[in-house]
Amino acid sequence: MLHNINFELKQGEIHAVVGENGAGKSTLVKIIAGLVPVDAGQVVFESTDRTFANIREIQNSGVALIHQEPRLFPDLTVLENVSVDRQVKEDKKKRFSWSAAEEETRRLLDDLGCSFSVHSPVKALSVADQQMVDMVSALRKRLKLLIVDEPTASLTPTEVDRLFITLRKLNAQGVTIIFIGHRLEEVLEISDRITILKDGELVTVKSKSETNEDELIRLMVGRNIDGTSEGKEIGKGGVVLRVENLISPGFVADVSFEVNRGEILGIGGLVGAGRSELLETIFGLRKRTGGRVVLNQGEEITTVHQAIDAKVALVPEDRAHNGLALNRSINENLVITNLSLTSRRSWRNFKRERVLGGELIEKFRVKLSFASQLVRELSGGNQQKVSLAKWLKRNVDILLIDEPSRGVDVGSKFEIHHFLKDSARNGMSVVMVSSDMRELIELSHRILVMRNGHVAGILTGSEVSEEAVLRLASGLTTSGKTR
Amino acid sequence: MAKNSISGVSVLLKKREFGIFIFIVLLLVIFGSLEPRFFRADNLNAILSSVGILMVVGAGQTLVIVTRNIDLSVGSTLGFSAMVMGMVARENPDFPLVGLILIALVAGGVCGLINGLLVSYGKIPSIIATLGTLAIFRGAVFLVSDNVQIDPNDVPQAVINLATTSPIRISWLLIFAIVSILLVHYISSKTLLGKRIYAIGSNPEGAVSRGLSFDRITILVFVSVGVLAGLGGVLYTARYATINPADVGRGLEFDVISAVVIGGTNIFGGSGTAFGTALGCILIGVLSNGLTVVGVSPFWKACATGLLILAAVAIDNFVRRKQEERFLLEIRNQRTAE
Amino acid sequence: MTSAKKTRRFALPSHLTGPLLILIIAMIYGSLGSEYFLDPASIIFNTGRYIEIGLLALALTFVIINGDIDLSVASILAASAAVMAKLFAAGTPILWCALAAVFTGFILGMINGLIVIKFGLPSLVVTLATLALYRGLTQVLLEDSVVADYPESFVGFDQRLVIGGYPGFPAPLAVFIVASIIFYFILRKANYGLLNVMTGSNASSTKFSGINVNSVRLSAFALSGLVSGICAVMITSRLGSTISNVGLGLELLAITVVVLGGTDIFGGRGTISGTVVALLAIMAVRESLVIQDINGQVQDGAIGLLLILTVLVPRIRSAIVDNRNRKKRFNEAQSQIANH
Repeated sequence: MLHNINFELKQGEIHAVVGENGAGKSTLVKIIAGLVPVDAGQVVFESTDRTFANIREIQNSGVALIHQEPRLFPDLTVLENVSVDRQVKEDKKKRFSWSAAEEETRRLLDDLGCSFSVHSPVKALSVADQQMVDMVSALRKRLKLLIVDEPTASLTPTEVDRLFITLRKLNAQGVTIIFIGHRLEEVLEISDRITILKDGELVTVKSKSETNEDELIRLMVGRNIDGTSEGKEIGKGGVVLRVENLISPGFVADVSFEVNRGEILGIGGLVGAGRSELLETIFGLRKRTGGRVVLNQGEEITTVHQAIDAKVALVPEDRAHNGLALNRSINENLVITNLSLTSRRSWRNFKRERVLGGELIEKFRVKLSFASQLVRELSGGNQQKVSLAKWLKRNVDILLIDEPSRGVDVGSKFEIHHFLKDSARNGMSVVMVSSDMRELIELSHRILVMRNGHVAGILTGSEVSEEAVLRLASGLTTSGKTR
Repeated sequence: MAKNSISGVSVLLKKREFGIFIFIVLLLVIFGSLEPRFFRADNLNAILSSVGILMVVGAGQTLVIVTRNIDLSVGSTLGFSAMVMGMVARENPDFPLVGLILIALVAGGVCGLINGLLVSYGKIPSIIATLGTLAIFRGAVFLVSDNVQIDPNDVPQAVINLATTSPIRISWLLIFAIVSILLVHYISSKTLLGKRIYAIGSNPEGAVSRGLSFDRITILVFVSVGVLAGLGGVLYTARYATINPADVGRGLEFDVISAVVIGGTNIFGGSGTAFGTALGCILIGVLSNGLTVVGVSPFWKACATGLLILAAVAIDNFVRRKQEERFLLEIRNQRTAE
Repeated sequence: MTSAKKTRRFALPSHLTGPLLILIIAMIYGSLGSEYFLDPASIIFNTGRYIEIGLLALALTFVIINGDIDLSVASILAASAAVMAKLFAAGTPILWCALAAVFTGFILGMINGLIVIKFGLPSLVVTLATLALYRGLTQVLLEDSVVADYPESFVGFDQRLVIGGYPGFPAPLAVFIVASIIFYFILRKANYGLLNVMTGSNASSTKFSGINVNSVRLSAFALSGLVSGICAVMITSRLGSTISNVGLGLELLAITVVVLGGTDIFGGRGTISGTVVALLAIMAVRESLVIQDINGQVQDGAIGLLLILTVLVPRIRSAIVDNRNRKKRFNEAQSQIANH
């Protein structure tokens, strides 16, 4: 995952780590936190090597990692959450007292600018507030290094401001901070120095004053990706899917677009922009409160059943939870969507199932030991192929696919891409959400960029570039056709 | 920001307990007006005695369910502890009362320990482990007693007195019941250990990653309910003065779990209170006694219990979901608005 | 991994080893205790009462594989028997009474399913409630009475022979075999079987695949109720009477059979063959203990012990294997680092 990284952190600085998806940011900080062992090399923090025997030691080492999703106990109050892992050795002289703990917690919360009561149950707090609680838990243990991984993904701008004030306060108190972020304007605002990772390697380290967003984007991307308009005429089949003013509360705010036959429409945007939710709403899995989804014959679809009948398929982002039954065999997962093809009058036909399975496995080159193998034993790439293949025996007119190559190795990624391009050429339309810029640009005929639930812009032809996408996603400029 | 920090959930919990309380009062009023005998002291005493045992065991079961487990073997544990104690008493008529109680507690604790080990280190789902031990412990009752029941003659007067007397106006049985509830309440609300127990049920993976000693706490919880079931065995002996190897404690687990669920404990763990369970026990007791006193055939009791459980769970579920919906919507709307 | 093509012709599925072992050992133990133990006639005539448990377990297998559970099966049985008894006492011809029992079971099962699905409540708690509710219904219908004057033609189903002679082939056994075969085919060969397993394994992804997960679950509950209704008729015929505590406690034994047979209590994995072998195993254990004059309660205890061992042993084994693998990998990584 990471190759030959030499990373240096100065005491008392706020250091950002940026890079595209899969560049290795999360892995790097997990190693620093001590949660993941290294295969080679060393991690030294304040002259001590960071290898640990158990979680308690990790927690007491003065380094804390705050994830995107705070690891809290929803049914407990703030105070209880913070105090629950208090160790006896901490207060060796005094016995634990709730009032003392409450005072301390209150103080820490006030320091961070939080006004909610320590007796609030955590599940009643917003994500931003929960993050604060998470941080207070870490702060209690005499923090020296705080690592925050994509903390702003689910925050409103106001909440982001508050978070930054908090981080600066902590920094002023002597805590060194590592900040992972995708939104470059935020990164530039908060950090002193910035490390750029790409494909598991260190590109360079820049200090804030000597760089800007454009340069960061160029360094993160660092490739000249062509293939924007060559060989990519959109088929003349006309519009197959029309989304009109689609609204799903909180995620999709008035989205409209069209997809043509044989087109691959990429959906770009930052985490939290509402891309996955858009697909789920179109497919009928997520409630909509406004708007329509119309197919080429004029029929409108609202439920999953209608969608599937109308030859629309959804390959979800989280294959472990929504795409596959991991503890069942590959064949079973492939057959579940194809029973109408293989079975006869509600009885299964194993021969036809085996043939179907074999066909799909071969077509998608799923590497396995035997077809009755459990899906969870496959590699990520092969799992993804199964998740995709199960839909594609039937004639699918419109494929909604969310992160086609997340957690997928290079070889499988290539195969999946090849398949998508091929199918598009044969008339299938694809709406593809992707955080992988390269993938997005290579495959898409057009790219729709989302931001905060809205369509920020649609890029076609020569407008398409990684920088353009990032700019739209970040709200930098409104280049390209805005709707 | 402050508006997001609704302490709504804890308020709601109290509301829920209050709701049960009101319902109990309602029942009392209804039964009392239909049949004044209902309010007689000896009747009320009978109600409390019958639920006393339930409360003792229920207090422990509450913690078990809070940790996302379940203990189906409490009835058998109660029976086993009672039988062991009864046999010792029969052989040694002068054995001190305190000693007898201790024996029962230890017997129950051992049963609980077995359950705890199976669930934590054995990694057997608690529903299966306690399904097995339910049968095993009951078989043990039989083996240990050689199918000889304990008669009232064998039970020391000191034990029997537990159900009827005490230095103050209420019986020891009731005192034990109230103390058990208060003890569990104290542990859940005031001690770190209690919070850890709830944490494990609220977010098991989070608990592990925060370094809580998952296994040890689980074992502790099962041992606790075992000890409490042992205490229940003592009280059972006190109340009925007869310990029949086939009958003792049979079906208790159903009543206990019903009371816990009615009392508002979430079957998925993480929340629930001892007081809620106590109210659940009282509700069941009042209903059952009331129906009998008023003249309704006792055969309606089971129906009533079943309906109560359904109502309790359905209401809880509904309230929870409405809250979540409202809350999520509020947040998400905030986001897209900005 | 090249073992793909060269799998042995016959490989014993791992979930069967436990119950099969128990069955064999119990049979040996039993035959040591009595020379009549393995006598086909005595086997067949002693096993009448297990048929009902077996049928309940078969239907329960579907429910549990699905990811649900049904604690109320015995209460449904009781309520169905009560309906049948009341109708009969009121003069209805026995055939209609029997049909009413089956129908009642079906309805009560449906109610379980509807409550679970429409209200989104966990099946454990709902069926805990209906266990009480339906038993209460039984008690209300029957109160203290005993209905016992069933017609001769109806009573004694367990002694009926499908094939006469010695030892003969009792009707209940035939029913069980037919039911096992039907359920086996449904689970293995029907579409429904696949939907069932996939729903239990991951309801969310199955829903995303366009399957109506709710109807899968509902039908499992309805089937369970239906089978309970059938068992009500059988048990009434066998006992020749109906009282309000009929079938008390059967649900626990039925669940034990299902779990002993290797079905995962959390769903997503399970077989009919496992349930059948587990039933046979439990039968053998109990009968072999009966011969030794061991009390019924202790028998149950032995079965409880076997249940725990059956679940425990594979886990211990895999824990040891995991540990060994982990140590191996750790040592490998260490030596890699050392060689840098």
